[in-house]
Amino acid sequence: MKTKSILVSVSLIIGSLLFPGSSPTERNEVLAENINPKQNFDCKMFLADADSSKEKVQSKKENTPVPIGVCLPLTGPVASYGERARKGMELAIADLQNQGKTPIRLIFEDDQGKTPVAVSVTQHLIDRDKAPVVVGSAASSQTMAMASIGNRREVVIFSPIASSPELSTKGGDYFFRVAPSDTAQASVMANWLKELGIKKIAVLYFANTWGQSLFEAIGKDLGSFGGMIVASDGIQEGQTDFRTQIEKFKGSQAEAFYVITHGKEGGNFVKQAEQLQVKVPIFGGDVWSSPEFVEVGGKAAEGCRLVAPAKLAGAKYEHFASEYAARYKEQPEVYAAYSYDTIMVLSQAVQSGAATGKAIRNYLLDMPSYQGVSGDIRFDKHGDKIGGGFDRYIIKEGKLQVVK
Amino acid sequence: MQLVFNTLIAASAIVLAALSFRLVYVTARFFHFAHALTISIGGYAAWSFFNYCAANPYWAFLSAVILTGAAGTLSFMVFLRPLMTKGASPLVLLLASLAIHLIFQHTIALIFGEDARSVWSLEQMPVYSFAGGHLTVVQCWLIAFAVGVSVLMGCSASFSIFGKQQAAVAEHSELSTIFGIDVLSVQMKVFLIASAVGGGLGALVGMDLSISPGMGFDWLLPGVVALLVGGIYRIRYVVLASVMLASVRTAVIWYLGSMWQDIFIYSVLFLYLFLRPEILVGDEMQ
Repeated sequence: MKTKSILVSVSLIIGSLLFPGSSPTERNEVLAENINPKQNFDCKMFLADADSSKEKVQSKKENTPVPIGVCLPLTGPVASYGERARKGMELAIADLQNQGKTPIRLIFEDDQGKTPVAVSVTQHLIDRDKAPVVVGSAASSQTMAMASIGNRREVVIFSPIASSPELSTKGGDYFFRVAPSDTAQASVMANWLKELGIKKIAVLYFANTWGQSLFEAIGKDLGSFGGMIVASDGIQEGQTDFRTQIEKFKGSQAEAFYVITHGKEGGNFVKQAEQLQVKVPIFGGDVWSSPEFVEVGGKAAEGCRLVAPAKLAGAKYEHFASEYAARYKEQPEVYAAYSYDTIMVLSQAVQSGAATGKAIRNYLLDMPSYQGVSGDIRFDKHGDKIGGGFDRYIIKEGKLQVVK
Repeated sequence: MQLVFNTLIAASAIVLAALSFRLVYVTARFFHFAHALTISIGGYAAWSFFNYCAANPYWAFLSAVILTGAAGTLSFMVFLRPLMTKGASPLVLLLASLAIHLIFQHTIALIFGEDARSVWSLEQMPVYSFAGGHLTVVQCWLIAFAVGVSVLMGCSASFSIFGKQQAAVAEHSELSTIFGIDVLSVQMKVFLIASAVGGGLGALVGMDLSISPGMGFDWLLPGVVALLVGGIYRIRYVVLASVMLASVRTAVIWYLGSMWQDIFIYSVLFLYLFLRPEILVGDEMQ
């Protein structure tokens, strides 16, 4: 009996750790609403005056902020992206409050960087919180899974970070994003390789939605000017030992390596490439712009090149950057700016009267151009942001420098 | 030649994971998943000593080994010993061990963050070249550590009094007590040594590659596979199985691609479980 009770207790502990629930520590509601004294008064009047009760209930509904679900990797291997996105969104809510606007409230949930958790969390946000929009996720694999739910349930899935080209065609009618698609990233990378006279490359890529689609896109773009991929290998996230792959690539006579991984794997790759005395230039995906890449790669990251979202500028961005730095004591990077704009655009949609997924979707497709901190925002029929591009960067002294 | 070095490096890591896990399993008779924590703790301890105490790599490694050994012994006394005293079944101990692993893995993430970190910068690390292959000094330590641990554990099991006491406790703890063996002392020493070896692996892996909160399980799992393939009771067969698995891994990556490596490694495990053990490793299961 004692053994059984211990077994049950231990199982409950493991279950609560493994499966996300609506524990108070995970759910983090950011309420963009002020307490309205009139509401309290209305509650008392409701009891006294039945005739005006309907109007008052209606008034109360109109004052209630629309719940916006947010599904981000706040823990796990890509938590740094989720955290930056969360900070950008919370700053947006604070700015809306300062302007006296309270149309939405954010409900944060952690998908831990795992697709099954992202699916479960999205369904909770739709069923439990009645969210007409779910913002997220960061990784394209999780976002793709969320998009399929959004399309079935007529709920907008709005990603501030996911960039896989596959999302444009398979994301469905209810998918939107402000981050530029990797189709543009592959094109910029291919042009860069062409300018450097590099025709043969070896590619190491994550065998997930993002990595696979970027790998296919670069292969196509390279082929258009006579280049080719002479060696390639798809890997799983979390892998750290690339010595055999590097040795294989060295033997393929590749003129450059292109590594489509996260910062941790990329840092380990360049470190091992330097140990094995690889002499060819190494290029990386946009995710190498994370501090993790330089932290893990160290000196080996110097001179590595990558293509990442274009450096933001302009008065609006400068104002956003100074607010962000004052609040969080660090400089923002591009995904925080995209996340800020995501919330602002959704707030605008709700203020225009859209409160359901369908209405918000229709607004986003027809909306006038919105001047965000990341630039001009409008969407095409695939839900992709029109315009917005990528820049070329090189790592110098541990920092990203734009390459003209 | 580089492929030979790659295989040796991978085999060394697998051997260390397998032998340290084996020590706990043979004595305590349950799958101690929390042993993966010793690898993570060793890595983060080395990082902390390197960054906060300005220790050189040698002292960072030694300190990580000692600290992890102590932490492992403490966790045995606080969490597992009470359950074992109450007669908990191996399943209960396995679940408790899994819970401990998850709790402390998330605690490490809370304290240090989720991002990966590097322990030792490449520019400070000597690299040796030999016959077209390259080895860093940390990789040499890893291989030497694995060889040293294998030899010491093998000799201890066969010739030392502690080895015989450990075998007795593993066989029958009540009978060992009757014959005057301090079972608690033997168990504590086992956890101390196993955790120290795990911590050493974590420190070396951290110095060679990087550390992250979930690294422990990633490095432990191939060791468990090697242990199952090589057999629980013969250290030399565990070492051979580790070398075999590392060779399979390197060959598969070279000829087929990275995505096939886990398929082949776990197929090897399945084959072993499917065929009679005598076909692969002899009749040591007594």
